[in-house]
Amino acid sequence: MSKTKVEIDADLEDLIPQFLDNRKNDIDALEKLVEQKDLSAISQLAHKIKGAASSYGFAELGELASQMEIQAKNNQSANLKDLVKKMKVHFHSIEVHYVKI
Amino acid sequence: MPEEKSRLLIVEDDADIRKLLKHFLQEFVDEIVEAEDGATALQYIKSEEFDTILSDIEMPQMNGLKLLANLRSLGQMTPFVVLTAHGDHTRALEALSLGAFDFITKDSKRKLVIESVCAALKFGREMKSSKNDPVRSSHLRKIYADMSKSSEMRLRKIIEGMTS
Repeated sequence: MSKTKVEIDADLEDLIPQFLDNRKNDIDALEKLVEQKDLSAISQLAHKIKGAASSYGFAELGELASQMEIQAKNNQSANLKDLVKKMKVHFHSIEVHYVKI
Repeated sequence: MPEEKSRLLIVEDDADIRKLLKHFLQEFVDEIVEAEDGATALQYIKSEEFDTILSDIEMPQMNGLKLLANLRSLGQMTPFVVLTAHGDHTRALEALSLGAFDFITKDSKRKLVIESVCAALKFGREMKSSKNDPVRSSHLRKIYADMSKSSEMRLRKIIEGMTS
């Protein structure tokens, strides 16, 4: 699988493993919610992932979460399965590179 | 008399974001208190004094806008900085019209977070030390309103840029 390089401030190195563990759990939970078609819970959890991902500098993950949040809020469930799959694939392809900012 | 400690209240329901903000700001403030929703923050505000409140908007129990409205109804002018998700500018605009000092989007770089919160902390400390000086207090309230207005104008420009 091809890797997605994400550059993160080296100052955050100690925080990133826990952050990634928590997002992995979030994405697993999101996948279950998509199966259950619980749009309100999907919107809330996607909003949470969006905020956390963008705060830590994982822009693409944040963007995918944002798309899911919008679609769930607008009761559009057709693409949610594809989006969560895309999010999962993207997440597992992430390769963090710590850089001095 | 020794100088009072500077105190910041961070209100955010996501533990990872609270941890990140604390990491960014801990060297610039003596004490950071954390609350995971507006209702818990309100309890702290009623019994303790802070120099700045940095708060998320979307939260369970009580959101950031209601927290800000409650704070002002208690007569507290503590500088209030709102933290918004990227693209959620309408809510930030609402917060500024309710009297927020500034706004930060969650994808902001560390430098911007530090600058905004440090400016608010400095202002909060000045307001606290002028509590018994009505002339200075009133002057500071005017400056606060101007700064809030300037944050609002900055945000309106961002929104215009996004829609054009």
